Amino acid sequence: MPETKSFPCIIFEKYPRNTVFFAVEAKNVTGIIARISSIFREAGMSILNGFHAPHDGGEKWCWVFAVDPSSATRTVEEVAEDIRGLSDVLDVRYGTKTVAGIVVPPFSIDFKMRETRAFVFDENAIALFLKSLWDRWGSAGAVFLYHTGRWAGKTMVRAWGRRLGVSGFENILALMAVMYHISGLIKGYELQMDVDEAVIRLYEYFECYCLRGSGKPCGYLMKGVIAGIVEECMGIEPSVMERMCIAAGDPYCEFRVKFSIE
Amino acid sequence: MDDERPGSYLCSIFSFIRGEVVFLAIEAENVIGVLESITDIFRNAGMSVLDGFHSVHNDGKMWCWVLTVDTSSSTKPVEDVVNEIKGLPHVLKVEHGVKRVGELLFPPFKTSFRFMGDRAFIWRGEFMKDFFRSIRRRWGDVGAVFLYHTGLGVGRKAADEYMELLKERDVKKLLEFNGELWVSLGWVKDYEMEVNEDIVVRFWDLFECQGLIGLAKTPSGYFTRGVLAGYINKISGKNVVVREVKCIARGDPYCEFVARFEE
Repeated sequence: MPETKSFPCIIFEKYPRNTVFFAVEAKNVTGIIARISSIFREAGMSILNGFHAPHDGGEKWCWVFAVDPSSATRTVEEVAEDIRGLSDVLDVRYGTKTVAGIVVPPFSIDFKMRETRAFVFDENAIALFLKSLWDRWGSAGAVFLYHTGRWAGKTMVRAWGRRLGVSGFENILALMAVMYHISGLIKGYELQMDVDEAVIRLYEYFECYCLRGSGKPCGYLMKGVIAGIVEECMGIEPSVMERMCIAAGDPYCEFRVKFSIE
Repeated sequence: MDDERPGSYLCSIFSFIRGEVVFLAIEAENVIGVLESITDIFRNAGMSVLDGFHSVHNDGKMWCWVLTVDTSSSTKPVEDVVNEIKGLPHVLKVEHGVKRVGELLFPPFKTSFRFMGDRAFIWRGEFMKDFFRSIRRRWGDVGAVFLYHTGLGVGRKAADEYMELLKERDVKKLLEFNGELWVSLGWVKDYEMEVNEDIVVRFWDLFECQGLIGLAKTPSGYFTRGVLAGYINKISGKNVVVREVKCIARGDPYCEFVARFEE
């Protein structure tokens, strides 16, 4: 995988107790973010992590972010009032909620990725799920993951054909790799296609990344997804092997797909 | 402080799959005012900032902003705008462009997601829906058993972890923490709970059931039911039976779980 810079999106972190969260809703007009951010600069407040998005068919725009007020020259209330006074600003909310000592925003947030609802899974949550599956079910857990993945792979081919007009094993695989990449499920990929076989190399693939140190290949869900894609695209039952795996200490996960079983 | 929970705000990641847009990734020193100087350049070029996210990293020394910009009404070429941003003090790096896969647009640079210090992954609703539907269609009732017992293990492990992290053993406080965590992760849109003789937990738009809306005739939150049972059991040290009495998958407005301690 070529070494290139990755830009972090920090969804939430362990914030200091004096952090204040803002949610600003405005009309979606050019320059609105510049006018809001100038108020924070004048107040000596540092804008930390956050996200912004147009909504309501592009009519409105919202911005949710954390602010460090520790060097502020004005109060949070004054800053909120100044933002409310800007033309095109429709609503300003701010505050902090502390739950069991952890500082969180007092707002509810909808995650969306490429126009559909999205869910965030931190590595701890995935590891808890997979470890519980293994602890409780042993190798039956692997069978469960493989066949669930296989079914999901078949469903994905049908859905992408219908919704996006994408078809063919190579195209589906390429689109899946890009989608996984922008979702953070992998950090890089290489695909090699041949008449008899395909080699799929995934870097830091999430299923195996969360089971690092387990000493054996763990990509059962992905094996199933790949098998399902081949079956649906080509009408054959392939052999899919995970030959290398980061859970076993390899630098990447490598899946080899044989289209004809000797 | 204005600390009620109002309606949801949208965090949209790379939603512009078609159109006249360009993706930018800007890295700068984390100084007050850097965002304003960048946005001034977009405003002067007639470019509208669409969706994106900004994050502080490297122990607060660096700040990066990944965003999508609408170039349809711009008065300058994108390259000129990029060069102006590169010329700003404190700006260290700017990447931009569009990667096309078929007709779809993607950013040409890498992003990584983090949540509370850990690596994070985004599962689109479609993936989630396919995953849970595949379990139910492939495995039927066996899938429900798998999910429930796996959830039970997850709940117990999570309880151990959170009790240690928060130095807390109160069921109500730990359930509240779990609810807030799930809201923060987008797994539910909101939650409510009542801790009395029974424990009642309500989740709005629960991730597990939202993909099964219209498909299920019975409550379908097997994994969540297991998680709650394991979680409450581990914290309280008592045997508990959890039932899902309402479920969005069968048309209820929310999913409601009732936990009852066994004698």
